[in-house]
Amino acid sequence: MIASEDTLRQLMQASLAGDRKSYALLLAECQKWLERYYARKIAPSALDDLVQETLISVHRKRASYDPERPFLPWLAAIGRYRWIDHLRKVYRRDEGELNEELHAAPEDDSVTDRLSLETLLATLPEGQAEVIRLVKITGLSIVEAAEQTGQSESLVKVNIHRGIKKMAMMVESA
Amino acid sequence: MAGGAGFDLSQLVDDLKPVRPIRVAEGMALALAMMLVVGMLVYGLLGVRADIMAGRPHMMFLLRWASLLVLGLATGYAALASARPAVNPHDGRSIWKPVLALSSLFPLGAVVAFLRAPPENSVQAMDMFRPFWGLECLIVSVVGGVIVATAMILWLRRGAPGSPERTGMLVGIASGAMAGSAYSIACPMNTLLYVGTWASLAILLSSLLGRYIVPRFLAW
Repeated sequence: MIASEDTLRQLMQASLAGDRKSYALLLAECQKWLERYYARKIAPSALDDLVQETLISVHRKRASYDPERPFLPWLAAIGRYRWIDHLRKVYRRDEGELNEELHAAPEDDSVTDRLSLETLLATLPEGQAEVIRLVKITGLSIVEAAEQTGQSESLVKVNIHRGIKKMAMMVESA
Repeated sequence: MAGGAGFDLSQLVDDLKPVRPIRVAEGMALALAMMLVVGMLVYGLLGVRADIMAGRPHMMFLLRWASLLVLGLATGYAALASARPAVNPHDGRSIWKPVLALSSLFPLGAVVAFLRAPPENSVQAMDMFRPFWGLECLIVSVVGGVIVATAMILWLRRGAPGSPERTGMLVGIASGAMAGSAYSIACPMNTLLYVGTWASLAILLSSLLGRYIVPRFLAW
């Protein structure tokens, strides 16, 4: 079970003042929250690394938290930035550059629901969603995905490109 | 730090030091101080308009100076506020949009003024587009804008802007507008055609530079 918003906020306020005990508790809670937050968004094999990267960002950017405001939307914003950055890196590595703007202003947990991977994939044409699942989540190569779906290799690439671009736009507008 | 499940939170805990939350007002004060520096450089290098020295500034100067300043403040605030993610989005950081729309009356007015210029004045109107008249405005606004933008970027790097591209564009508009406002104390031109053309071009150029150069300094 994850601590309440009020508890997290108090822990963060104490952490900003340098209280290490509070900070250790806070990071542990953040780790749990982020694992749940990312669980429906990325491949399980990437989860630990992304949670770690986000916790490091939480640490480095803690001065950007406003103690007068709720904590979880701030954490979600940090998590969301790291997630989109992760998608970009994956996309760049395989397909080239993805140039969408990043917006990070989630206000509550409903953002998590709106942005779940399955929700995003469900909005795509089946051809795009299918190859993204196969290549980006299952880990098949372009050739294997082409064989399995009957799409040409170039169409698989185009569908991944268009699908991820559309998902990123939905993330941006969420 | 090693990746994956072996990650040890105690590394971050051990590294904890007290930090003071960033304040947007401090960033704004820094940007305004840099605008003042640009104004002093303009004063030292180019002097001040005669009507200001006489204590009776021309209406076009006042309009130009004030509108550029307001545009700089509104976009500067939006850029700096983006360093604190997930803070109440209704805190005034969106006001730059109507301000920018209002500022677009200058270039629109310039187009109308050009189209409606009587034939006997058309040569004079065309003359306003010559770089001879506007290059100084363009250079001072952009170069002075770099001074303002540098301070804003350094401040923003302490925060966590969620959209570096958008923030970069806002930094570009803000810095160009603030430097343009500072330059207006020296610029002797009082026509809508001139202001609408050259001040707008300077801001457009600054916003493009901000959009495409600044994000690499803001990524985190």
